[in-house]
Amino acid sequence: MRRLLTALAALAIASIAFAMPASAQGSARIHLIHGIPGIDVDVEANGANVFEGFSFGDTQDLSAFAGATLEGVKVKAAGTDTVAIDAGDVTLPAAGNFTLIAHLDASGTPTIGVFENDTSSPAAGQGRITVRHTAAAPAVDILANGAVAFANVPNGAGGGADLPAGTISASVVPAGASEPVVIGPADLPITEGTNLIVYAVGSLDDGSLTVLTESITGLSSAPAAVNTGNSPVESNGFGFAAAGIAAAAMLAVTAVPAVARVRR
Amino acid sequence: MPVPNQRTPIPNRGLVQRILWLVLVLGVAATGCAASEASPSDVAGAVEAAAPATVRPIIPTQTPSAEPTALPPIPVPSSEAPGEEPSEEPAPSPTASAEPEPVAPTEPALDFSGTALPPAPIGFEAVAGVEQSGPQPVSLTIGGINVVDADILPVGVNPDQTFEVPPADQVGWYRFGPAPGDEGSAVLAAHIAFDGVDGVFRRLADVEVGAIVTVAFDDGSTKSYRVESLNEYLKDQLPEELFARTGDPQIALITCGGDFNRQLSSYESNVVAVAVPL
Repeated sequence: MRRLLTALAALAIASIAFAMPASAQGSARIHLIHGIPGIDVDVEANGANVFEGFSFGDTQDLSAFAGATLEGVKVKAAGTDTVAIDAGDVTLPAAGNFTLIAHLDASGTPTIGVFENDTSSPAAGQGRITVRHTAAAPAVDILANGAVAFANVPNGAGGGADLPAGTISASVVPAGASEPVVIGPADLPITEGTNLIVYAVGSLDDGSLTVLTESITGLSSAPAAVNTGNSPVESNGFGFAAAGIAAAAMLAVTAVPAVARVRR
Repeated sequence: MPVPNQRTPIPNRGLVQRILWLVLVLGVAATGCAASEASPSDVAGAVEAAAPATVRPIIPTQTPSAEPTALPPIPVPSSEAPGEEPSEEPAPSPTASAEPEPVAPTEPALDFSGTALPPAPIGFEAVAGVEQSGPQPVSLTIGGINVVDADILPVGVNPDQTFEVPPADQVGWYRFGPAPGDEGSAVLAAHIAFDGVDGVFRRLADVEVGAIVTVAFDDGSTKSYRVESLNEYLKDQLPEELFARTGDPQIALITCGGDFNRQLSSYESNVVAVAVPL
């Protein structure tokens, strides 16, 4: 904590500008997550504290401010004027699905990471897992069911994969190594129609490595087709020989009522 | 280093270029490992994003996350985007049930009350697994068409993303969608005929409007429905709404029908009966 505070002198990201398509004025989903263990912060914008006592894991919905510019954004140690992150003027995107996360960079300096979230639909029966390295640690390999799923992922980067719904066993190791397991192993659910986003957070050096997660739901796809028959049946009584003795026998013993087909 | 509190949003070109590149890389990295051809789209709730021809996305009746109230943009004193301001219309009514407190459009100060969300789960143990927590449907009865206590199995999709239809004497309940009784459309599908053997839904095309449909669950409870419509669709025109996850509860009973294609050993159409709770 003390080490963290001494690293808090003027720094990091000055102004966060988003490479947004200029014409995309529409709805946006913007979340802000506090991803630094061990420090509560106040967030200042437009000259006043807008969040106070923001703790590790806390999440704020900034979607209402899509397209707005927050001026002079500062993240300060709670109850103090000590600035952890001086972000300058932040113009939020006008559209799209984004997560802003305050996190430690590879050297342990606080910063604000910006990630755009993939909200396209996985194929029917599949979900998505997204992993993001936002911890003070060197590059890592992320293993799923024992095999490397994402290799050599540095701080600030991430990746995603669509997988059949189910459970995978996930763990994180230093890039190129098989041990030590720095996070996990743990079973993660792959939920149909959901993007599970996993952030590695904290610091390797002080043993605070852990994960934060968020989920984006409602991304389901319908099955490609419903194929519920591969052999013909007699229809309309036109003497078409139905395949199969069972069908013929059933017709012989059952008085099929002449029912008018109801159509909308 | 850039000067804090500077009014223009781009105080330092070199730094911003690095940030923009980082954002670009993150955007590419986020999609680079996708096993499918999914790509990021611009709009929250973008379930209608471009998808391969065999995947027909659900059109949700409510957005997956909080629907924000669109604000008139706050003028930014720069030349970044001069000509693209939208019309000065008032913020539209929000459609989601959970949302941040709307900001008064004429007020220059931004109101940050009401923006708090539940905190992000910390640690792998906190990641919620998806359990089928409710009672499971186990048998189906449909009046008038010889479906009596037919076994229901939870099913998903085949590797080709088609509906995983069980053997001829069983009914498949699409387990990724709602269960009968939940909001949205619970889907139950069964064969009309398979390998010459009649399927459970052999006579679905003859069901009458008003016929009673009863689903029994593994906790002993039952739910009853009434058939309200019967329709036939070409296979590739099967309405996506039949797999809706939200909206009024209903059951969609699906089988095959229409012309039988001898070369392909398959039917050209689906027959669908929709039943609503009594």
